[in-house]
Amino acid sequence: MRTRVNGSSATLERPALRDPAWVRWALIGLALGFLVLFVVLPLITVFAQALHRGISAYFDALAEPDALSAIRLTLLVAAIAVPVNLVFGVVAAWAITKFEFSGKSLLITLIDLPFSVSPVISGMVYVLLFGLHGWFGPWLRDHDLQVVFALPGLVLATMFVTFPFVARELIPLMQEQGIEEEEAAVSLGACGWQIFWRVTLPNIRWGLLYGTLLCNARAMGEFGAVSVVSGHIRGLTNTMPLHVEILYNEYNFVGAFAVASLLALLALVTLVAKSALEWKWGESLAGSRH
Amino acid sequence: MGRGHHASGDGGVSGECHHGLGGGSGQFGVRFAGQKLVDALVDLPFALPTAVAGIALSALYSAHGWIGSVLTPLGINVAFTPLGIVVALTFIGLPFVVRTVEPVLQELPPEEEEAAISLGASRLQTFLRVILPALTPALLTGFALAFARGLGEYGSVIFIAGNMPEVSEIVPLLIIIKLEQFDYHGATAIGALMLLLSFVLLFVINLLQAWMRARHAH
Repeated sequence: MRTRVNGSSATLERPALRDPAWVRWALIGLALGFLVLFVVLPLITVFAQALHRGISAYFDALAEPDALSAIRLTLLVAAIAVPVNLVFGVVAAWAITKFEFSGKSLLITLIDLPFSVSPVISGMVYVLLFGLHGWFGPWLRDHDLQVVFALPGLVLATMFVTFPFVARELIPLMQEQGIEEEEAAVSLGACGWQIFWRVTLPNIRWGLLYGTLLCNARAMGEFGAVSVVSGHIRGLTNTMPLHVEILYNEYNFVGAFAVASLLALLALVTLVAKSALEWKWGESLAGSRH
Repeated sequence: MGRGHHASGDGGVSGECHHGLGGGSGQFGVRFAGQKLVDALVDLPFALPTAVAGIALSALYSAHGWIGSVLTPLGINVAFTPLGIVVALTFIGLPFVVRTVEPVLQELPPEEEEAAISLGASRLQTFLRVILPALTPALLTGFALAFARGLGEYGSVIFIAGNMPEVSEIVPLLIIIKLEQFDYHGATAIGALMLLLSFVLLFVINLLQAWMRARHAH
């Protein structure tokens, strides 16, 4: 990530460390070959398969009512889950980096939890809690509320899975920035909100945008967790990735890859925006991601 | 139930370690045209929804696909076999290894390599005795991260795996099947084991990262 050029240029100036040309090209060839085989070809396949019956078949597949409702549902779920996680991420990062309190390391571990748990298990937790036979199932049924196999379940599962993205991006960044500027603001008489809007937010805006981008990409593309809580009701609880699965299993390959191509485009746009942020604002983004 | 899954996770990830090393060396030694494009592409498996990756890989490696039509006449069946799971997990784990090894490789002091060469070591010896040992913590961390992700991976695997019970059925799919049959006890039992495994891996990853930091410190 955030490439540092000094490593390579240092090597170029050190003749003793220059490998023979064939070694360098063999290594680059190996790396590029692997990348083409495992990353570039799958990406091209998505668009090739989506368009292989022609452009009109492609747009017909996208204009299908079930596809349109899947697109709407995906946008709706992301429109709820991403802002909630954005606010949570900022609040959590703010608390962790600017204050001292007991249980801090527990909070950090909890934030990381969704990354280390299988998405299927994340979804299962909500079925066990809110499903018909789950802990709150009978109560929900008595009050005529449905969480699992409905929009609330989809939003909850998506929120859980995309929980860490914003906070994880902001914590190292805000740790690096320290609290001197906030302290200066306090000493000049600023109140909490003023400090946040005038000092902290401008300092973290690019990191925040970066984290939100990743969070959104995952929210729209999430499959495993959403698959467990959705119930796969066509036109009602199918998000785009789930609709892709249904079409693919019905051997409607053009339809499946047409919807998939939209998701692939989203991934490409995310990567371009992410790379642009890194190249332009690399200095004001955090040092490491893992 | 986890046997097939384990083996596949392992294969996929060690494939990546080779690549992480290759890709990293490429970036370390030289600059080449399109390097930024390659840099961005390495993150594609992070950004591409898993279901999209799954159907794309499955289409590529099926008997009529671009790669499958080359491999099938050679007697190599990838799609709908455990080998397909290895391919999917290799795709998914790629960025974990590259992004863990890359920064360590970039910060490796060139003086150590120069010292090795001035003492008469060949480049291969320098690589094996100087560079590789310095990378070991990062390689293991990348391996563990990719392994942890591979264990729980669902979307990219189920399309290409074929999902034959006891042959190419992964644990997350088994959980979903049990949930669909309202066998909550069965699903929870398997889920609890998976959670336990995730926590063990998380612990190992934390230890490895501490080792990495200690290496960096001196």
